[in-house]
Amino acid sequence: MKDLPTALKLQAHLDGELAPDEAREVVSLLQRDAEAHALFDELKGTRRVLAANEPEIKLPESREFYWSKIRRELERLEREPQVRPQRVWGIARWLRLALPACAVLVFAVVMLHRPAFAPGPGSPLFAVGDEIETPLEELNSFTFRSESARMTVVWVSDSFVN
Amino acid sequence: MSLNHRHPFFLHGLLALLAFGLTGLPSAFAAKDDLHVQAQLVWGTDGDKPPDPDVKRLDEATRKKLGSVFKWKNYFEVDRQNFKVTLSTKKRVRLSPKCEVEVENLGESQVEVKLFGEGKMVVKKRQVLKAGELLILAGDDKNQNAWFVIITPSSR
Repeated sequence: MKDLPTALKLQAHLDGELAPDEAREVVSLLQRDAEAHALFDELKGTRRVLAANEPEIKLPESREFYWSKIRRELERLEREPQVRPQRVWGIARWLRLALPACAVLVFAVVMLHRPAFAPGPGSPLFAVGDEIETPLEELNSFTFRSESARMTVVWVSDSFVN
Repeated sequence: MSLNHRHPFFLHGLLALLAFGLTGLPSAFAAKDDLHVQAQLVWGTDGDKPPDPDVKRLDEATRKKLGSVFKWKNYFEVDRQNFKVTLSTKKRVRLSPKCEVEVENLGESQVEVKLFGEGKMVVKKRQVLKAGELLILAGDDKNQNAWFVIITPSSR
């Protein structure tokens, strides 16, 4: 059996697709190579058989009418509204409404009752560092506590009061 | 079948509960957390009573408390203000021409007290204010004297 490039050249020559120079080379090959000649004959026979037996399907209508029917069907499908599956009001559907509503409700209650949630002495939100503040730079202050007198004193180095 | 059909009073009951939660509870919290506060401006000295007739001797209980901690022999009340601070609000009172004090009710007996001298904030302090407890903002005054702003919870 001939190699594939040679076989393809033979097929191309049979189909009349080769340039004149290549066609001359193939003719020369066929004259001196019996195997190549046998393959060429086989290809030619196959082509003849196919050409003689290719089924011909005849449309019952004209070509234009046949394709126009296909076009009309495609256009009808494009115009048709998309049919969505009907949704069932199951638990999941209710939850989708109820969860956001609950979130809004909780937020509203928290905001309305905000003082009740304000950080207190026992709360981790209560910032000990905010207990005392002396904003004026020229002032110093310190705090001390007397448990016996039950008093907390913040002493400020200023004499503005009187 | 919907919830309404199954339980005719369910939705109405739920709405009533919500209405109570949104309107009733805040006022209940607020009433509980109102603070009645007394603010006193006191002058401590080793000298005699000032000639100002509005200045009077400090009550004995407070004088003893101050005397157990501070060195001065005499304590005179320059001014006293009693006021109520509702929850999450603040109240500012003037104790002398130069001295003002502001008390904010933070809830659960927690207050934030700001002392103002000549309009400027001098010091800010947060404190739990319980019965019998004194929060004192104080400082040296001229001639070896001292001033005290005493914040206490007061009876209504």
